[in-house]
Amino acid sequence: MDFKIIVNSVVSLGGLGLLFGAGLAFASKKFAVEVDPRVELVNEALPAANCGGCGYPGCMAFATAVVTGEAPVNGCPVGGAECAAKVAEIMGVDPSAGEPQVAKVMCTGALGVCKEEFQYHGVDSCLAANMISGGSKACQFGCIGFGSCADVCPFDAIVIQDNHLAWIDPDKCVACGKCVDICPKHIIHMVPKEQFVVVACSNLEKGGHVKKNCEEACIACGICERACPFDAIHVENNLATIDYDKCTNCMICAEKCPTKAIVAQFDKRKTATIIDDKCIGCTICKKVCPVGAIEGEVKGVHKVDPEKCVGCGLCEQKCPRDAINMN
Amino acid sequence: MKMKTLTNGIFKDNPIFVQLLGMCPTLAVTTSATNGFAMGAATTVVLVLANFVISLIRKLIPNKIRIPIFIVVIATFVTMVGLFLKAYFPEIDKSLGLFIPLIVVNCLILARAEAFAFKNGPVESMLDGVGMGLGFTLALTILGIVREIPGEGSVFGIKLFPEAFEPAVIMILPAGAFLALGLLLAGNNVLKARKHK
Amino acid sequence: MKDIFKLGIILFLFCVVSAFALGLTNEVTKDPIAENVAEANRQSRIAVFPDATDFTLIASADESVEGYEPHPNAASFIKENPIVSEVYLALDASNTPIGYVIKTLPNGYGGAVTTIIGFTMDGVITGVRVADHQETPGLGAKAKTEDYYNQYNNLMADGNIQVIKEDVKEGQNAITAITSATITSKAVTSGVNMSKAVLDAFK
Repeated sequence: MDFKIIVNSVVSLGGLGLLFGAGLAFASKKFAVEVDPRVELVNEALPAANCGGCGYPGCMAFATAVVTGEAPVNGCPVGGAECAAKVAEIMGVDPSAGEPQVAKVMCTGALGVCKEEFQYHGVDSCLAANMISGGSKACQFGCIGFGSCADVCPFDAIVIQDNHLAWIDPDKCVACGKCVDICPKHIIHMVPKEQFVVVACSNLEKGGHVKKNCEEACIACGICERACPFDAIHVENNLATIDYDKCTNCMICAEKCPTKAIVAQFDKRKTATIIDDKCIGCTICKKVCPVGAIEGEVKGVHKVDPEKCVGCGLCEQKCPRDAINMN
Repeated sequence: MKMKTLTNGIFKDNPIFVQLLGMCPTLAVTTSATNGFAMGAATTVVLVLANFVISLIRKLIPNKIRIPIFIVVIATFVTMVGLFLKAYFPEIDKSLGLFIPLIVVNCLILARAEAFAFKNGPVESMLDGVGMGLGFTLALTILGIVREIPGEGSVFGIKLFPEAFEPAVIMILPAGAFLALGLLLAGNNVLKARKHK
Repeated sequence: MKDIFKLGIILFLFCVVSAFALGLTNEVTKDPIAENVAEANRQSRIAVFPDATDFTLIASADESVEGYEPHPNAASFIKENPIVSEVYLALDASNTPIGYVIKTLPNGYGGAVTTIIGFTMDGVITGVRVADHQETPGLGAKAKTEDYYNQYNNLMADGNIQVIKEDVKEGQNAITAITSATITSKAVTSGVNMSKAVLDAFK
């Protein structure tokens, strides 16, 4: 048993260890960067997959973004609700704060709706097709439909239908933003998940010539702006734009739009019902209803006509007795 | 016993074809199927041991010096494996040559230590090590076979073609390594895409 | 301060344990490794001189090798012929010297080509082997084949073996170069040709 070699190795390697360990500790003090301790705590709550699903380069980057307020606490799709709750606790916020968003493609110009200028034969990618005269659709602002967004979606939330139009499944979308970045036409936008009416058009040109290219384009006629009881939609740059903070999902604009450029999920529309026992007949609801859907005499129980009701919820907000339900 | 941890590294998260970790030994050593297999086996042994030990002592490792500690543990096991090979399997040692010490810097081992062993229990970490090691060995063996057949006309040393066969020498050179690996990666992606649809 | 001490000690302890484990492993494997190395070397010498049973190192560039019994001319020979790194006296079963085995390091295409040559006292080549090299696979690496080695068998160790492109004629003291690997072939041959100088110095 040659002890000398063993002792030599132990002393030399051990000595190096001591030196480096102390050196590193010293360096970490000397070159310390002021880091919010919450960043480390948030990082530990994350699943450490470093997948980039949140849209940040790695878990540490996301943790830093959460602490600086840039990223929402529920931004980690892999961690899910459990992780969001932990992160929210560290940040001291209510986990449900921060309205979830989903991506939506702002175009309805599928094959058959929007004309084609030419036939495109080439690489099956929107990025490539966009380089050839902005794509084969007559409308320069329309969805090219070859699926560059679907390719980049890590959650399989985007489907390209047969008519060459991209559709994003709001249940699968986690708002990571990859599709928004890659769309060469920049027509994918984030909308709040609970927003059920959108202007599904991105065309900034005016009037008749727009309609010639696409049947369902926004022609900036302004009917929607005049019809909206909540001042939530305006025509800017020849395109109707909805202010999601003001919009109540009443969907009147979608009903009035002559070209059907505004798309609404009518099945998600709510209807107001008045609870008879609670109603005191103050008629405030009747007065505020923008569509005149409420009938009733003063001091008498009021009733909502479900045919006329658009589900805007104004009556529910204003009722002093909490007698109205929205379903 | 989480079986998923074990099978994860074989196909879904294969270190070579999916994670693309440990490229250096992959490209350099797979000049024959036997070499590829031997390298895979040696790496697997180190990976399992390192994952196990690091997971066992993870509570004792201060965060600031975890990287030097991982490296010391990994280097120790690699040196041991190297010495054992030199003593009892000198032929394998000769054919793998300087790539045995390079197992220390095979980023696969450090990556699994950091991403898995440091955060999970010893048994699970061992399973992960076995899974990743198997995936690594599988990938290296396949790559070795793909290179050996056209490059030397044999597989695992067994000659396949008659004397007149002129081998495509490029396949056992570095350029061939990149070509073969690139094609295998493309093939794997096609399979994954098909499975998805 | 306490932090520095603590981290230093922890890394120190890890290194101590590791070094100790390695030291022990080294102890256990030391002898088998040395045996393997010695046997591999012996086998490579027997490969080039099948009639010999044992070898004595009589000249070596590395003087610290075990079992070195330097010949009086050893030091000056090694100095004047740097491409020769080892000279062994080949002995038969009755311990009679019957020839030499030398290890040379001529420069090939990609670096030194370790060439081992065996030859009898009468100056006949008994065998040639190539060990470590960095020649191109498929080209210079073909020097490590039976066919190439056999070309040298029974040639004269007169220091003047030629490397030619055509086939060798009967009685010609030459070998045919490997196609597209002339440099490697010339390197190996230059190693073989050192046999003359060894015979002159040590016989």
